[in-house]
Amino acid sequence: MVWTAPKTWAVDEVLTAADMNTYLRDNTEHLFDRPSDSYENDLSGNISTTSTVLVAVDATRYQVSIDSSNHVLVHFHGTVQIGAINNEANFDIAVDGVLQGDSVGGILNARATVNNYRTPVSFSRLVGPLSPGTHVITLYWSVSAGTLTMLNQAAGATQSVVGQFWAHEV
Amino acid sequence: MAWSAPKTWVSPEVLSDTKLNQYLRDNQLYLISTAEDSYVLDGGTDYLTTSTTFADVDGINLSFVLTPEAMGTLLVGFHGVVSHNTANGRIYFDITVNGVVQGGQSGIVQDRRAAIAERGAVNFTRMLSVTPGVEYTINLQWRTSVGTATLYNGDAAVAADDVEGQFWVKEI
Repeated sequence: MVWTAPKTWAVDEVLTAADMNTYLRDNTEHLFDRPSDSYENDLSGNISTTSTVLVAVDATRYQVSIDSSNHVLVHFHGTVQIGAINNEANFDIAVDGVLQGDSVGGILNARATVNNYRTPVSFSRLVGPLSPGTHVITLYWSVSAGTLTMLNQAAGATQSVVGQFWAHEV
Repeated sequence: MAWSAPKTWVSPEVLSDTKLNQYLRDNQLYLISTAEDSYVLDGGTDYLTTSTTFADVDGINLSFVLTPEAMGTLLVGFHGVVSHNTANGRIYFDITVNGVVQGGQSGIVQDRRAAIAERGAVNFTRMLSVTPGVEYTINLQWRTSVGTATLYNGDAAVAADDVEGQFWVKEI
C-alpha cells in the first residue's frame, strides 16, 4: 500500500471516508507491511571476479528492487575468499546504478593476511530517502589483484554458504 | 496488543470510540512494539566447540521462541568475536528456524582464522519470511572444521577479549 504524507486536519473539517481510508487505513497498512525484497545465494557454484574496479557481482543476482520513497536499510552477509596475501576486496552497493561509497574503496574493505584468505563480509547500510518509485539496489565488488570469490557452492560442499542480500524500508 | 486489519471507512459512518480504539490506538500500539527477543553474550564463560556438524551454541540462552502476530518478516541478527586453536581453522555459523537450518554445509557465514588465537568479528542480519500466528523457535548454531573454535562470551574480566556480542530477533 502506497504511503501518503499525513494530512493536517483542520477545525470544522468534514471527516470523509476517503480521507479516513487514505490517511488511516492505507498509511497504517503501509507501516504494517513495509516494502521489502531479498536475495539468497542460489548455491549454483562459486562466483568470482578479477575486476579491479567496482562492478556488479552478477548481472541478475544480488539485486533487489523496492518501491519506496523513504529510507531503506540494505544488508549483505556472505563469505568471500581473496586469492593472495595482501590483496584487498572492496564492496559497495548501487542504488539505481549510483554507487553509494568511494569510487574505489566502496563502503567496505577486507585485506587478506594469507593466501586464499576466507572471511565473512557483512554490512548494513541506510540509504535514502529515495524518490518515489521502484528502485533497483545492486551489490558491487572489486579486488586489488588476483581473484575474489563469493562462496556459493552446492549444498553439501564445504564452500556452500547461503549468504543473503536484502533491502527493507524503515 | 492484537493487530486488526485496517478497516475501510464508509460514508456516512459513526466514528465510535470502539472503532477508534481498535483501529487507531491498538494498531499503533502493535506497530510500536512488535515481537522481539535478544541475548547479550555476557555469560562469563566463553563458548567452545569441537563439533564438525552444526549444533546449538547455547540451546538455552541463544534460543528464542516467539510468535509474530501479524507481520510477515523477522530479522535475526548476530554479532560476536571468534578465534580458533588451529591455524586456518574454519568456523561456520547458521540459524535454525523450528529446527530447519537456513544455510548450506558451511552455514550462512563462514570464517577462517589464519593464525592460532587470532580474533575476528562475525556478524550477520538474516531476513526471514514467516507466517503470522505461528510459533517460531530460532537457535544460533555453529561448527568447526577442525580443532576447537571459541566464541567470546564476556568473561567478566576487563580485557580485549571480553567482548559482549548479541543475538537478537525482531518482527518488522
